[in-house]
Amino acid sequence: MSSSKTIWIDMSDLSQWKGHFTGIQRVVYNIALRYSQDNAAVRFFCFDERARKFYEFDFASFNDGIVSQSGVRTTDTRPGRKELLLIGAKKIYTRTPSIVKKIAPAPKLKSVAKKGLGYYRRAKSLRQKIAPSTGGRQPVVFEEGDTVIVLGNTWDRPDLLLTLGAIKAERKILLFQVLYDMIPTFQPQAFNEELFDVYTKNMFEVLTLSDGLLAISKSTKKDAELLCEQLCITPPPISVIRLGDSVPTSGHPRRPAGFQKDIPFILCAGTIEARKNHALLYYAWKEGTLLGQDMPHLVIVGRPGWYTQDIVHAFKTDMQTRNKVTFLHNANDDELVWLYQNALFTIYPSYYEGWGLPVAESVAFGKLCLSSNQASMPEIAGDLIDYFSPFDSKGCAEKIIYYLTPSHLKKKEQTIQANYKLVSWDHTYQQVVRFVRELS
Amino acid sequence: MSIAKKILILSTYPIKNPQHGGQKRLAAIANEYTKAGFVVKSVAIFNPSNYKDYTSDDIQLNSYLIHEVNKSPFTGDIISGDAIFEDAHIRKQVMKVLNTFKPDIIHIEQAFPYLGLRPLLNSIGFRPKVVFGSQNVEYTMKEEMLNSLSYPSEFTRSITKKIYDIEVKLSCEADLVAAVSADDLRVHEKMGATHTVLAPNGIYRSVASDSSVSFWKQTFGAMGVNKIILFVGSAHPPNWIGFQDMAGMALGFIPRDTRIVFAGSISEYAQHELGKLHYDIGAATFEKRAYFAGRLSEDRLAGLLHIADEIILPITEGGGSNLKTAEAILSDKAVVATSYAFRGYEQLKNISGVFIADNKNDFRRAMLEALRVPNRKRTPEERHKQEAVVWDNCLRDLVEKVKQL
Repeated sequence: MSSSKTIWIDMSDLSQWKGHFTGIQRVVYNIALRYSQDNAAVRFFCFDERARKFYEFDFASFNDGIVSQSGVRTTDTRPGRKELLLIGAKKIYTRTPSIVKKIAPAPKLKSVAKKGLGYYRRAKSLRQKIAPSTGGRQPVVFEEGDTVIVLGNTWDRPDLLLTLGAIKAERKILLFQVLYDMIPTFQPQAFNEELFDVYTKNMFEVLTLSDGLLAISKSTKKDAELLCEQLCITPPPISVIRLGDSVPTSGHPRRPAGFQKDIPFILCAGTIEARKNHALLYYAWKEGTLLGQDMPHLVIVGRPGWYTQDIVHAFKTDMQTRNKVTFLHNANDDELVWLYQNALFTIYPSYYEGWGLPVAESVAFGKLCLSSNQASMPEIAGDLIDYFSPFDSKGCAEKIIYYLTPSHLKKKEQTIQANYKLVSWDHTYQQVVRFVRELS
Repeated sequence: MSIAKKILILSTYPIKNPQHGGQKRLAAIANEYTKAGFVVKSVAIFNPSNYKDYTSDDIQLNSYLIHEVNKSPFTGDIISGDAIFEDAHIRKQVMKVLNTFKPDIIHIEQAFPYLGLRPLLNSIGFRPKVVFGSQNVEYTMKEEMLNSLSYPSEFTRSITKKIYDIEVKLSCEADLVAAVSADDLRVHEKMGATHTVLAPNGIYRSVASDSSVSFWKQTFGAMGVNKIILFVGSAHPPNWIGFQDMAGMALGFIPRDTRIVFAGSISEYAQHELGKLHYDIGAATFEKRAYFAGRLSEDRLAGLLHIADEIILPITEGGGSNLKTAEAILSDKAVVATSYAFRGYEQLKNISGVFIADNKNDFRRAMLEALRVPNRKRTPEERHKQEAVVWDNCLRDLVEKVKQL
């Protein structure tokens, strides 16, 4: 039986998720967890895409499962949605009869990515085979006056918003959503066109349907307002929330198997995809060499993603860089913690982010992050760290060289360690609660 | 008892099962002539690739001429007109009509047929009364169109001159020139027309069947759509240009329960144009607030008109007056239009439920305002004015003047 004025939290994203949480899953989990502990009027639901129906979600059981797995792990050994596109494609190709393969040779990463949506659908269906933990699958009936909070992404399950929209047209319910980024819309060059279409259409729904939006950065809020202006949408109230810091933890940090060299290194963490701009690092390493600097080793940690095969090839074959770079595609938490602890400093050249988790992780370890000065990245640690333009390889090389001087680096690290305050998820949760309450 | 006069109507498109505005106007003229007691024969010299409905009186272009039209798609009407004299087969067929039907009056719809008819009549010394039915000042419209499609300027100049010359000749030589708007009438008078009559575009009142109304109610009900803004038009580039200029590509201002419904061949044209736009946020989200109904039967269109809450006429260029304007006025629905769309219906701009807006911001505001404000009932005086758009009234003066020829 539903009572009025219930707060419903959407768990569709997490209900199908197995393994470690990525950035978005951490947000969903940490806020949902606090709602479950703090508010008796809160209930949880998930959306069944095939039935186009909402079912109650047993958060307590779900959380027991998480706790029994030694808590929430923070690194993503399990692929994210975009990576699923490629994995799905590869699985499908593996099953292709050999005669077909002879006619059509194995697709390169780039051409696989171009197939985007088709693979995405197949990958999604593979994921759907993982039975969603929907509790007893009690159907949900949203009542007049209820509040619905969607904490995860919805672009890959657009029917969720369309179905909520139909309910909203009948009954007055309030809808709040967390807004992560507008990357495929405003940075379409990093993806294929189908993703641009799917994502932008969904963003149209998000912006026109929500009664309030919780942007994860000022940059995301600004982008949402810009998109509203471009689409002639009157924007709903948008509040910026500061995400909690989730620092990777490990009882046994260890050197990654793929990196046994005992040499100083700079760490770059994050998926290897066009937007993350690893190409700039390639040119910066070459610029640094031209400036007469013996450039340090670069460890790039992350799974291969969209449109980056060429730059990986360049890094690995260029005589100036091939002995200066190590790619680690499958580092686990123990290895990642070791890398953060032992790196000289970290570098993050992405030209666009909704937030910028590796920047936050780096400062949480007390390490300098040389970061791109674009989008949300300067919001994370402000003046405590240093920046470069992600379009200026020489500027980037000069910053790297500057911090290779131990006294410069030490001074910066001391500033970070003395001043950076970890943000708790409780703080994030309180921001969400306050905003929802103000508009309810 | 007097013998009924015979009128031969010549055009470059058939009027059986009329679809576009030009066909509808000419079909109405033929109908009103018949109602007035004339014996009417309509003959079109036409491209069969474009029209599937025609009568045995209509004359098709042969494959060579169709090939010529395909090489230069916007000159088909000129090729059809020239063919009356220059193509031996077509000339023979037109001659046969002239010899057997023996018209007292030839009504030439748009000037194009006169390109071939004039030398033909001269060659045989036949001098019937001639009525010039103008739909636009064609030479300016063709010039605009060819320029907008970036045709070579020399080609555009030569085509434009040819049309101008024939419009001037026909204006001077016709016994009566009928124009759709006061502006067009003045242009023809400047060209040398001495006997003129205003014959604005109109419509026949449409009645929707119950099944058509319930079809649309079901269609939109299933989509959660409660309000319809209707845009009816042909695949005429200025229609799409006008929509973009006045409503734009970003439709986020349209309420969630509302759709702009494109009906007629503008529907396919708009989809085609949208398909050309890549990585475009307007194009990607357009269908969130737009619905493409496609080409519709008269009954389906009448049903759509019946359930619509608002009709828009975002017309910013093109000649003549717009049948869609008449349709919108007679529908009793709220109408949001440019001043341009009301050319020929200036006297109706101020009646209840008509919103005139001439820039994008005002037009969009009016679109929303028209949805919000309940449609006020028109006064008896306004209703009387509104009736002026019915064909019987629009063509009354033309028919009377033709009777006097």
